[in-house]
Amino acid sequence: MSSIQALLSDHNAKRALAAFQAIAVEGDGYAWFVRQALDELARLVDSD
Amino acid sequence: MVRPAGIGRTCTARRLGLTTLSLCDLELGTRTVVGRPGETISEQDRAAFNRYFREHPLVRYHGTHSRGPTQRITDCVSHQAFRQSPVFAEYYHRIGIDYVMALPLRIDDANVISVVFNRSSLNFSDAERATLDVLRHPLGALYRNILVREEASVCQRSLQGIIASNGWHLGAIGNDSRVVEMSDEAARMLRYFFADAPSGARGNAPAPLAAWLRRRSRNWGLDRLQTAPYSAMRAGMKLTVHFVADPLRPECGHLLMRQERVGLTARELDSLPLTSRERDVLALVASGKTNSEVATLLAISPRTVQKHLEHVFEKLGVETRTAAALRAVAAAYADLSHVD
Repeated sequence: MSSIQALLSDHNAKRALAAFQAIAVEGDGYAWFVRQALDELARLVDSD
Repeated sequence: MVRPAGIGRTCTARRLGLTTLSLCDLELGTRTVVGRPGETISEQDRAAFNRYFREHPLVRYHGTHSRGPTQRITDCVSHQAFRQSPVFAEYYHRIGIDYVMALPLRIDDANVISVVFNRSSLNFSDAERATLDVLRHPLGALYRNILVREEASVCQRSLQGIIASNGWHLGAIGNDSRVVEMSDEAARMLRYFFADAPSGARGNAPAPLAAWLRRRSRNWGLDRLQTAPYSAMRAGMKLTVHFVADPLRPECGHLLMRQERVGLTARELDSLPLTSRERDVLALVASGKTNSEVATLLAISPRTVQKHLEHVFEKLGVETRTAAALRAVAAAYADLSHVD
C-alpha cells in the first residue's frame, strides 16, 4: 500500500483531487454519478 | 465487456479507453456492467465473461482481499499467464483488450464494485495505478452515500402518494425556513391560515410557522422528538403541521400538513338567510350537538332550540336536521373555497 502511494506525484494527486471534486458535485442521482465517475476517471487515466 | 460498437481486434488504436463500472456479487457469482453512452454489451460477450467469472484474476484477488488496493491483472498473474488463460482466449482477445486494471469501491464482503479500465497494447503504469488508488476510499464512501440518498428519494416519492391519499400534504423547507416546494393543496392551506403565506409554491414560511421551526431545529435536547405538532385554528378549521427533518441538514426537511374541520361557527353561516340566533343553533347542530346540548351551551330551553330549528328548516327549505347540517357545511366550505 505504502509502495503504491510512494509512486504518487504531487501533480497526479492534484489531478485525482480535481477528478473527485468533479464527481462529487451534486447531480441527479445514481445514474448521473456513474456517468460522471466513468468520464472523469477515464480522463484521469487516458491523459497520463 | 462493454465496448464501442464496431471496435474489435482489428482496431488500430494503440489504446482502447474502455471504462466500466462492474458490480460483482461474489455469493451469486454474477456481474452487472454499466458502461458509458455509446458503449454496448453483447449477450455473447457477457456469456463469455461469465463462464470464467470465478477464475478472473481480479475477481479472485478482490474477492479474497476486500480492502485490497487498485490492481492490474499483471499485479495478480504474469502477462504471459494471463494471455494463456481461457478468459483471455475467449473474451479479452476477441474484443481486443490486453490490459485491465480495477479500482475497487468497497461495499461489503459479498459485493465487489469496481471501476474497470481496459486497454490494448500498453499496460497501465505504476503512476496511473497510484493516482487512481488515491480515490479508492473517498469514491467508495461517495458511492454508498449516493445509493442511500437515491433509496431515500424513492421511499419519499412512495410516501408522498400515501400521505396525499390520507389527507396530508407536503411542503419542503430549505435554509432559513424558506418553503422551496409545496403542493397546490399545501399552498392553499397555508394561505387560508396565514395572511403572510407565500402566494405560490415557494417563499418565506409564514412568521408563526417559521418561529416554531426555528425553536424546533435549535432544540437538541432529549425532548426534541416529543415536540408537539404546530397547530392553528381559523373559523372552525384546524391546521396540523408536523416537521420531518433531513438527517443530514436538520434545519431543512419536510412539512406534513393537514386541515380538518373541528366545528362550525355561526360566523361561517353568514351567507345563509337566518337570524343571528338561528345561525348559532344551526352551527352547533351541524357540529353534532343534540338539542339538549345546544340548549345548555346557549343557555336557552330545549323547546326554544326546537323552535329555532323549525324556523331554520323553513327558511332553508329542508325537513330534517341532517339536511340542515349539510346546508350549513356547504355554506362554510363555500367560504373556504373562495380563499384563493
